[in-house]
Amino acid sequence: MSLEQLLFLIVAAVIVLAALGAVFSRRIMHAALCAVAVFTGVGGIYAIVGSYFLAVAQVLIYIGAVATVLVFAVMLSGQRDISGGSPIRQQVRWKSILIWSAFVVGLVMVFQFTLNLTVPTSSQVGAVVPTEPATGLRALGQLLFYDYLLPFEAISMLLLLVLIGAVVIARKESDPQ
Amino acid sequence: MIPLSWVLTLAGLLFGIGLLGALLSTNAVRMLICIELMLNAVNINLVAFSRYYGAQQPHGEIAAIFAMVVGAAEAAVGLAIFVAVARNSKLIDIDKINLLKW
Repeated sequence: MSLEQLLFLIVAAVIVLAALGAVFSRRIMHAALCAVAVFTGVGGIYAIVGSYFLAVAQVLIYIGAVATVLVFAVMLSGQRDISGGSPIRQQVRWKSILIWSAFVVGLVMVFQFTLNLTVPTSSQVGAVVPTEPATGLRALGQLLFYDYLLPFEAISMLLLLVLIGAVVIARKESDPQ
Repeated sequence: MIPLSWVLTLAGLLFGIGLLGALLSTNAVRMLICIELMLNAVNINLVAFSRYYGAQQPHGEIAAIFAMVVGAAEAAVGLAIFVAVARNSKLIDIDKINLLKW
């Protein structure tokens, strides 16, 4: 087992444990902080897989922006604690678990199909050398600004709309102009 | 080099945990956190396939960037809605929010 694989396993364990903490921790603030840990780990996975630009973008967007917004929302909504202790919905518990297990069964089946798909090319997969960071970034930029220019502009418009919309929604309604 | 199946297993685990939390949580903020976890899991898959199969033309990473931006936008609007709801009713219990229920 190489050092890279060992690092991957450690980061993956951190991600899974933090995700479980985000789902099952009692206090909502702890859940938000566990989510930050998951975001950090996912950024690490991007770096390990070799996608350095996305690792940086993950740190900027998720740890920088989304985590801050999450913590702000937890504090602004003024709920220090969950009432009633358990974070689990009691009424729809069995229905939810049924839906979830059906989904997991489907996921495992698809995953096995993917494994079968991968096996013939596994030697090829092992032989693929990740491109150099600079070349990868250049390819990414050219793809984004030539082939995907229209979606890029659309998504910038989406960000503008979200910026205005979030301010309008979160504003106090009886705000004196 | 990390086997592709390891990365896919990690993404599947993360997506499953996120789905379980999104289905089971009482708190709206926690529900949104779990949706973000699921988006991250999908992004891991996109990046992994892009790195392993399309290193010269990283279409998957472009898709991951777009998913990331849409996820951030969704978090901003969703949390703004929850802050607005929490101003009226003190708790964000998704079984008790019936503003848009007809």
